[in-house]
Amino acid sequence: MGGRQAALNPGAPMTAQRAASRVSWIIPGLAVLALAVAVIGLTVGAFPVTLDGFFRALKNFWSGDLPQTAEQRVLFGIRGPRVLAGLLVGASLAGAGVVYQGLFRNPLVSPDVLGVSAGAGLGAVIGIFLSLPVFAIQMLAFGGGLATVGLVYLVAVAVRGRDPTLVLVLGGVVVGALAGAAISLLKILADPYDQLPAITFWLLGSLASVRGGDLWNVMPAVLIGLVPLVLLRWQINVLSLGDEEAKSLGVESGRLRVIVIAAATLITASVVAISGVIGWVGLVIPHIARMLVGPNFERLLPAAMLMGASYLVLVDTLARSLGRIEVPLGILTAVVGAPFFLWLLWRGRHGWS
Amino acid sequence: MTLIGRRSFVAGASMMLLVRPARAARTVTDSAGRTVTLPDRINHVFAAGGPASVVVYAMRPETMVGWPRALRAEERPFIAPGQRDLPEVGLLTGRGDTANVETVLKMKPDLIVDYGSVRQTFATLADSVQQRTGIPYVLIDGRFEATAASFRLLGNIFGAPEHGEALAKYSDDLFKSLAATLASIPEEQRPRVYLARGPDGLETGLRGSINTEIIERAGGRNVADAQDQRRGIANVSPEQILAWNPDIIVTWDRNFHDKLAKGSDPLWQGIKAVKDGRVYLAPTAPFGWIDRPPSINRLIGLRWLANLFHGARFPFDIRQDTRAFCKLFYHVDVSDADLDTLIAWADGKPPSIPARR
Amino acid sequence: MMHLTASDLSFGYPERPVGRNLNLTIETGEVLCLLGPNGCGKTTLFKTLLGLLRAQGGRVMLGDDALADLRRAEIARRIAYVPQAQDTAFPYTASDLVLMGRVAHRGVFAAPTKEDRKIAQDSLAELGIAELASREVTTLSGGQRQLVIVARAMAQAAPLIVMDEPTASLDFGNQVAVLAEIRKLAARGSGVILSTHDPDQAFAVASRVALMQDGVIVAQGMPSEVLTAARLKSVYGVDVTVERLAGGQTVCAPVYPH
Repeated sequence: MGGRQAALNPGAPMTAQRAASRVSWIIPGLAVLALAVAVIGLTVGAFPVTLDGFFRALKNFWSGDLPQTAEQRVLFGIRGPRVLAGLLVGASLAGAGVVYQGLFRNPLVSPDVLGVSAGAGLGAVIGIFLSLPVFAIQMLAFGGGLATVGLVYLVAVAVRGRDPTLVLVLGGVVVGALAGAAISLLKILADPYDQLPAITFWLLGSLASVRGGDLWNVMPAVLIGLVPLVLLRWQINVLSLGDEEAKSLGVESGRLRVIVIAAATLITASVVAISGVIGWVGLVIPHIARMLVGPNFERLLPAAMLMGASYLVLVDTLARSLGRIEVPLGILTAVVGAPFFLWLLWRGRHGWS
Repeated sequence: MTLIGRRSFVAGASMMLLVRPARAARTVTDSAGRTVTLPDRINHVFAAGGPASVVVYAMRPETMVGWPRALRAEERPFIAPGQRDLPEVGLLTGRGDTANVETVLKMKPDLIVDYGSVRQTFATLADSVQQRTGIPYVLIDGRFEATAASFRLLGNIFGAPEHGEALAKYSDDLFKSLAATLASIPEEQRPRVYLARGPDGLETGLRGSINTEIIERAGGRNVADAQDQRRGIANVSPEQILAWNPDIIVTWDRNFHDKLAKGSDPLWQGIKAVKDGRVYLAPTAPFGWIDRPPSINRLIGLRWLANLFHGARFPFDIRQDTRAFCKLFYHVDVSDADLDTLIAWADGKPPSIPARR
Repeated sequence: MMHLTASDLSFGYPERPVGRNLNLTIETGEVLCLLGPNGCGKTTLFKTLLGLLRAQGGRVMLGDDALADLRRAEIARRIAYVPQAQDTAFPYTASDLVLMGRVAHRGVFAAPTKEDRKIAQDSLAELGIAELASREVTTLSGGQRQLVIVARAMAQAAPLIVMDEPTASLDFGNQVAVLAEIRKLAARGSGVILSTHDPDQAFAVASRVALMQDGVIVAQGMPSEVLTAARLKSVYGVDVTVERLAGGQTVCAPVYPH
């Protein structure tokens, strides 16, 4: 037995239970980090809030009273929803990113691969172009995101190639490009005073105008998308081995793929509707999370979501405190994300782990 | 010939040289210091952007070849019938170039007028277009303080010096009476104003930008002060606006005004202007009263704002003054019904938006 | 007692048929070796037998049911697949990978139970690679990875196992190790069908051999009957000599021209 092991084991060292025990405290650690970042986000801002005022506001919140002072109004009405939105949007984008990366067996994939952001952007741009109120713009964004992915899926079914994931990706590229072209066209036709600035800012992503009500609107959709992903976590693991292997292990890969894509798209479209297009979170965070806890979806999903939540709240806090004016979120996430992506590519020469 | 006689002769001869002979072309120096050769008769003028189109319309409407953007239904009653249906020809400078140079050529204008910044970038653009098309291109200073001088220059260019003088006098008088009023109002007493743009109201112009200079002109203080020499449009967070706590909010976006008027938006509730009900909607017919475009259309908005800011200290009879302004600048006798519409609009009740275009 | 029977099977891809009129049976307790040169259609046949590719004609029975009538999970409970070990995209641990073999036994929304983890652990131990449990598979050698996949198939606890060239790209020592495991599997009651293009491997493990050429089975039966020098020459085009050694093993050696 020993001799054969020597033959099978060409000099590689053993990593024992160390890996498992390290992973077991990472997720609670990430939860604590998210909480800490949220508190930081609540204490930082343009409106001066003293520490004393902060605690009084917390007490007031606990007792369920309406906000009394301007400080409390800032914390509950403005900063609170904004931080919560950052947590929700960051977690959703990172979670969807993990799903897509597993589904397409490629760590360089983001939730935008099937065009959900381009479609949501198109819906919102149409809404802004028609000078509709904010709620209608959000609904159009949501619908646009879902419709785009639905269209990509129909294209993939119609084409019915040998490799289903490849056809999906190519379909996403094409439909996404079409949506992008439509957006560009609308930008040219838009009124440069009334509409174009709003369009540009929406396409760059911002949490500045998120209200508490928006979060309640979006929560149900996100939860509906999240539940199947959590329940199907082991099937998703198997799916990431590849279509044939998954089938041979007993997974209905075609049906599962539809459900998973629908769930991840629902999550993404919902948050993009209130935050605009924020890129790079769904690409970079899942990758870091995978480096920390491994590719097992059971651990990877919560880890990525917690990291995404912390990351976006941090970036958003930066965006609104760099100066008097707001820096669009999409710009900041790109500034951090793009160099990281290059580094990933460079490392990837040696393999994807 | 006596000495006096020779001097008169020389003076007379010089006068003859200054008086343009009927057939020869003439030259003029535009606001950017460029010497441009103009044809003797100017019959067709292409306005290079939104601000220029308002100015050309005010000076000599019959020469216009088109509007940068087709007129909307609620704007038409305030434009003279002859210019209501001019075609849409696009923009040549400013945000989003949409005019094709060949299209410009096809219309065979005698002159291209641009009104706005006279900085080097635009002067170079002017030279380039002039070279490519062979059409004389004049660049006129669009800053508020240069309004009267620009009118006089345009009067000269268009061969309508009396009209140019009338418009210049109007602006001179307005600025003088404003200065008189503001002389007695120290800085601390001037209201702090936030100019909200877009459906969210989170876009604004920083202090010193051309889009918000009307605030300072009217004797207000723009709260959006970047202090680090930045000018132009910027996005801000609701929290920042709450920290600034402006006394007055002005906007021309109907949806935004509507939302604030209802008073239920948690992001805006705590702001002094919202609590005091001092959120004002600027009409946009035929052109924006405070911006959109940043051109002479703002003169009526200047009166309106000064009255909003300082009340009786700067009187403004919205009916009379608007009618007079539209007659002088827009060549139109506004009916009572249309005036009512405008008045209601300035009071926060805009006309319902008819089917788009 | 589980069996897999292909009757008059035509198989291939929609735009390219590969084989016709194929008849094949494998039962638990035996090892069927599918032998043939590269490109003769072994992999295509396997995918059809596993239900990964739709049959173009004829029928495949898995136990008492037609393959086409069964759902995936049920198929996976009856027949397992050991593909050639490729580079996986993601660095799962060996134990997680083996655990995925249990998915067919649980509901769609379920996670592996403690019992599943024990079975996975036992499978690894059975193959002598228990200490690789928490290693990431991307850090393992080709031979180790192949064994992990065999462990997964064992954890899947299906009575039949299909192995596609399980010793490809393994060094000599690892090849022998894998073949030894296949013999043990059959001895414990599994039915194994494996493909190879090395007649020696067929002699080493097979209870029956099927010789395949251009999508058709040209001969089926006991290794000693099927793998004659004449047959091998007609299939491979090389001269061989088949000898019986003193210890009872049969080997096949090529004869090189002088």
